[in-house]
This record gives sequence, structure tokens and C-alpha cells, in this order.
Amino acid sequence: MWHLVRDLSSEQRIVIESLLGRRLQDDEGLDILPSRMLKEAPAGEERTRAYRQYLDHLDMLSGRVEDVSDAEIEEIVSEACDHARHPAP
Amino acid sequence: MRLAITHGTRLRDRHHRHGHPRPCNGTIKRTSLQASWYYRKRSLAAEVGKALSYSRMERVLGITPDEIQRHIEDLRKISRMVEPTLGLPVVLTDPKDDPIVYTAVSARADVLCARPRILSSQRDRILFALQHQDYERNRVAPTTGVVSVRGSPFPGMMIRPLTSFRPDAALQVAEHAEHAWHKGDDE
Repeated sequence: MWHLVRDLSSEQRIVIESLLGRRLQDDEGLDILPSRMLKEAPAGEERTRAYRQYLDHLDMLSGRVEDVSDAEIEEIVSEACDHARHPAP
Repeated sequence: MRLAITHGTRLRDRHHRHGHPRPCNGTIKRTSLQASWYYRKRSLAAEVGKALSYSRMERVLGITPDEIQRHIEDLRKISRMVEPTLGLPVVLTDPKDDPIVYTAVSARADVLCARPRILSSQRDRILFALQHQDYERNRVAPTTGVVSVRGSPFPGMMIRPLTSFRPDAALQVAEHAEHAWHKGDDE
């Protein structure tokens, strides 16, 4: 929901300014969107280990396309992304 | 440092050869090394899996369903997962890209690595730095321009595009990210 700053109560304005870390102007608007954290990223050694595992797997896959030209890879990746995000009706 | 990288860059990031990655790929590889991944939980599996199982990709890469599943699971392990609420349209050229931007914002990403159609359609590759106003100075690599989006649904947020892909500037982003990673500087 879109809120105009000038319509906020002084209490609301103070709270939001404290969250933003700056003053609001009367002609500004706010759109507050809640979001849920489903899972935090790992930290420390766990993160390093997980990322190493991820890269190792990608390296293994990349090894299979060493003889494929960069241009062809680019083309395939673009096609695949387009296929995933904009499937034919 | 948190990054959000669209699946196009993910698929590209390890396709380098002979130990000499191309500048963009090398940068993304290095940058993504620091990444915490964000994506909407359903889109992650659906889009990555669908892209990897694209017939030509499957044929050239020789990737199996088990390997696709493994890749998705690896991404999940290193990711911060968020379920953002979508707000006003942002990517007017393709509303399907809006979840990418909202995911990056919800997860407080510092950098969004994206293909050009995300927020701009100017050049081949563009690296965007998204940051909240309190990160406005010093925390993100230099950019060629600063855009304050009129009518932005993100009060206080600046969107800083590199108006063209510059490996040198992108490398600074990567180095900054790497430094932050080693410091464990997530906030």
C-alpha cells in the first residue's frame, strides 16, 4: 500500500525516519513491503565448505564443454534462460 | 556482502577455459564466491532446473536430472532464501524480472548481477549495484552513474547502474566482495 508522507501521523513519521536513517519530505511516498526470511545463508566454515562444493560441481560440469566455443555457450545459455523464463505458449 | 545473481549469470559463471576466464565470467566467478544466494524458493528450483534441462543445454553439457538436482541443492545451501512481497512494477520491459529485483531488495543484497534487460537494456552486460541509502558511500565500487528512480517503490534506495559493462569496475566490486567475505562482513 502506498502512503504519502504528508498523510502519516507524527509518530509514524518518526518511526519510519528512524528506520530509514534520514528525514522524510512531505512530497515523498512510501511503499512498505514485508518479506519473509525462509533460510539464512550459512556462515563461516560452513559457508566456505558449501561454496567449495558448489564450485567443484560447476567445475566438473564446465569440464565437459571445454571444446565448445564461447559463442556457442553464450548462445545456449541465452536460449536456455529464455526458455525457462519465457516459455512458448 | 550479499549478491543476487540471475540464473543467466549463474549458468555462465563457470564456463571459462584454459584457466583464463573471460573478464566478465572471471569477475562473476570471483564475485559469486562471496555470494549468499537469494531467490524465491519456488522460482529457484523451477527456473534453474528448467534452464539446465533445456534440450540443447542438456545435449551439450550432458547434464543428468540428478546433477540438476544436485546443482539446485548446492544453490540452496549457500543461499539466503527469502519470500519477497512484490510491489509496484519495476522492470517495465519485462514484468517477469520484477521478482529478481524484489528478491535482491528483500534479502538486502548489495549487488545484483543481471543481464541487461534487468532495469536497463543498454549494453551486453551490466552489473548493478543496489544499495540502501546508508550504504550509499564507500561500500560499493565506483559506478559510472547514479540513478535515483523516480517513483521508486524503494524509499531511500538508490539504484546505481554501470551504464556499460566495465571489467575494471566490476572487478573492484568483486574485490570488495571478496574482502567483505573474508571479514565475514555480512551486514
